[in-house]
Amino acid sequence: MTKPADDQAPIMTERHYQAMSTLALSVVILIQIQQQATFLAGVALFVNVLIALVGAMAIFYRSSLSPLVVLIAIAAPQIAETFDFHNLQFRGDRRSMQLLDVGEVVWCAAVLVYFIGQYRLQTLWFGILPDDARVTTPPGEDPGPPKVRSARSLRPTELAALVFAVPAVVFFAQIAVMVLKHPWTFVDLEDARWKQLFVVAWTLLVVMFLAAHVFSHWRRLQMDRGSALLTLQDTLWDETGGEQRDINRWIVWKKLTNQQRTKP
Amino acid sequence: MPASRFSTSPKLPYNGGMLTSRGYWFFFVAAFFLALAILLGSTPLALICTTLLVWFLSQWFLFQLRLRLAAGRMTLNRVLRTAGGEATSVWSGQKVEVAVTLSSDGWLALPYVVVTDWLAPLARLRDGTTCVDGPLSSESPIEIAYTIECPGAGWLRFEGIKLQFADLQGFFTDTTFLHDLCEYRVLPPIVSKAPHVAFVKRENVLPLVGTHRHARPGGASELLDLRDYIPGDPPKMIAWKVSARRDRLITKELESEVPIRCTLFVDTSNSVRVGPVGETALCRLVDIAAGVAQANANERDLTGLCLFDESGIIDYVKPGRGAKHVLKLIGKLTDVANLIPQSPRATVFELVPVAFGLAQDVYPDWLSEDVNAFPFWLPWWAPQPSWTIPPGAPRYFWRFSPAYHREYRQRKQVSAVLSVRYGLGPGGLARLLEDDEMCVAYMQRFLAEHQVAYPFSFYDGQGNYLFRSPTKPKMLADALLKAVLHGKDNELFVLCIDALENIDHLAPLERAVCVAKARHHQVMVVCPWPVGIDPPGVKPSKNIAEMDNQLILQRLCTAQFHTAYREVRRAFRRIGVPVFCAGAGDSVSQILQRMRRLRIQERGVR
Repeated sequence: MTKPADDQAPIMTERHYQAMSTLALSVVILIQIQQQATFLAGVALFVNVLIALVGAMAIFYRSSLSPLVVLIAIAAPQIAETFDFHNLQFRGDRRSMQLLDVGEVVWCAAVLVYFIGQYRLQTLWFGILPDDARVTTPPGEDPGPPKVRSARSLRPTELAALVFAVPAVVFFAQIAVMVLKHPWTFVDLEDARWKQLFVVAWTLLVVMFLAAHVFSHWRRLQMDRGSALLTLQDTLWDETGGEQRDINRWIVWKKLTNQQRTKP
Repeated sequence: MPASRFSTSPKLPYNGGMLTSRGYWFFFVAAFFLALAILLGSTPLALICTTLLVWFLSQWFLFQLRLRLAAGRMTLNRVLRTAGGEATSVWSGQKVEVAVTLSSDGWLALPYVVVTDWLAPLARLRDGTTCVDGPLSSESPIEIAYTIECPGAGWLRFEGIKLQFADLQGFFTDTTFLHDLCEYRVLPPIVSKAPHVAFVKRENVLPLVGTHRHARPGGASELLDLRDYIPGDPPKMIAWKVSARRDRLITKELESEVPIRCTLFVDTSNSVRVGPVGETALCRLVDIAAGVAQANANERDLTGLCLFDESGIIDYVKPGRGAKHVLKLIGKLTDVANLIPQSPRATVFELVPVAFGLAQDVYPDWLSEDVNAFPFWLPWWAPQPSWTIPPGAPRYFWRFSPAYHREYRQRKQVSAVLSVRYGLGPGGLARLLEDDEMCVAYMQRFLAEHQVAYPFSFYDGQGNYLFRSPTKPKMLADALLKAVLHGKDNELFVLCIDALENIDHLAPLERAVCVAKARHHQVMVVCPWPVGIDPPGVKPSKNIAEMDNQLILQRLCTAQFHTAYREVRRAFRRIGVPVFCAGAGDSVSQILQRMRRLRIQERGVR
């Protein structure tokens, strides 16, 4: 039994996340309808209704639809907007980007909040940890409920933390896109889009590589004696495995031969 | 046969990876759409995808940071409570409440932790759950409370708790094990009803030494009999009034105060260790022996104990009395009650999945790729040659078989863990990888130390009993003769020995029993009975036509056991020794009742 952090704290349930996701989805749809004025009105309406349907189904009907379907639904009209139907080619976005544009900031924040809410609902409904492949259910038997996050583990602080986290993430994303739009000269590529992609890929790889190595080193510093011995043993085995293997195989062969001889 | 608590499924086992499939999909879809947005020039989409990726990376960074800051700052507190309060030892069959508290003094809270207590193999969960989830911080520790019951005597071994960390979206996860070894002694059940009936001197609060009617002349104060005077009898023993009435000298004979001695010979060999922990035939023998010791202590009789197995006498305690002595006996019985069988015929093929499953649960950090890597090409490059595999062991004939690859990987990782755990030195890993016999021996030791029972069969494919031990009766015979040599009058020897399928080798034991009886001792044999096999006399319920193959096999195995039991009984009946089955039907009190009857018969009390 988990000890409640504070008996006076309001009880947090999945309905809070449902309400949060619904609100975020509504904001997303409203802003999209507003922003897609240049796009074909009928198609825009259809796409947004589709997003609303998919999103609502995922929120209220415990559908196992991935939130990524909503991302695809959001991405599709954005990609379609860049397509020139007369010349049948992509012409790019003609809108200019402004730092901290209110509409875009709210739109990004709403999409992010929707994803956060939807993924957290999924942990309550479909499980938070991967299944253990060793646990097998005999055929014909009920596999039992999935190992989901228990309702009593929900805390109001989870929602409160989003008040600071979401604006910070959106702000950093705006900065990142502004930096990306900067005409970089250190990459010698003709097409500016490929140049941007190159910068993004390298930034992601370098950041993740460095962070992973810092954490890996930190982990090694915290190793217990057994793990440290295992590391040393593994290094030795890696370097001299062939020789050790040959020697031990001959030893075992001799032992088995002697056993065969002494057997009555 | 009893199943292990670890699955031996051919599926790839769960390994606590950092990124879950949900996280992979999210990252790759978001990155894909970002790339698409950049290439197609869609700024709003790029903004959305960048927002999602920044959030994803920040979650990963925070998750890692929290893990590293929390490592080494968690403490575990375990308390066992019974009706009498906090306990350091418990009785078998007693309900015990286990309370585990996990606290952390880290300054950054962990948002979601699944805490699973490693249930001691001897314990059976009766109420509550061993798995609890929630956030963990310095202000809010996680508490687990559940109730257990132990079916038999032994040691409750709590290894620690398994910790699974995750972020709130389920993108990242990590598994570790917090070791906190706690062991509690589980004592055999108390014999509530005293099977011995004290039929003299009821008014005494503390029974006198040797309160049984003892049909032997001795130096006690109770009159046993009157007989004619024999020249040489002390004059003070002449019953003058009776002599005057009968007109001849009559001598008084008084009862003897020599106490009854009982020596228990308990078989702890591999054959009686087979079965689920706490429900083996050995546990039953321990219960019986402890019951007899307690009942004898109530009567202030002397009880001795001899523990033996295939290799020889493990321990011998000469007959004694008193609470301290009984506690000593119970302590020795408790120590052997949870022994795990070890078979020289076990193979790497059978043991590796079980040992690997145990290592995954208890030593997940020692199986991670950082410290215990496995080159995937190794089974293809350097497979184990057939000339280093012991004859009769199963082998793979195709080095590219996925099953062989899996076994090789598991064996390498388990060998590395064993080499470090048992301090085998720098070459230990390579030696365990190549030497099947050594690897089997260490894996059995590893499983036995963690009280993990794994499936065993009693008979091989040709119907041979795998636990036949020709030397065991000889060793018991030597121990019995030694006890007879040092024994006093009126001693009772209880031989708890698995003599099934050993009929051809019982001759030395029969001779030793004859010697004991010739010295006026009494001997009885208690035959341990495996769990899951119907005891003799129980009629099978189902018609053989209605049974599936497994049930038919079990029926055949039961029939084989019954035949072996009949042969043992016949062999001992020839020399006048009763044989009892320690199956479910014979409780401790029943066996003690038979012992009492034996004693009465011996003393000629009518």
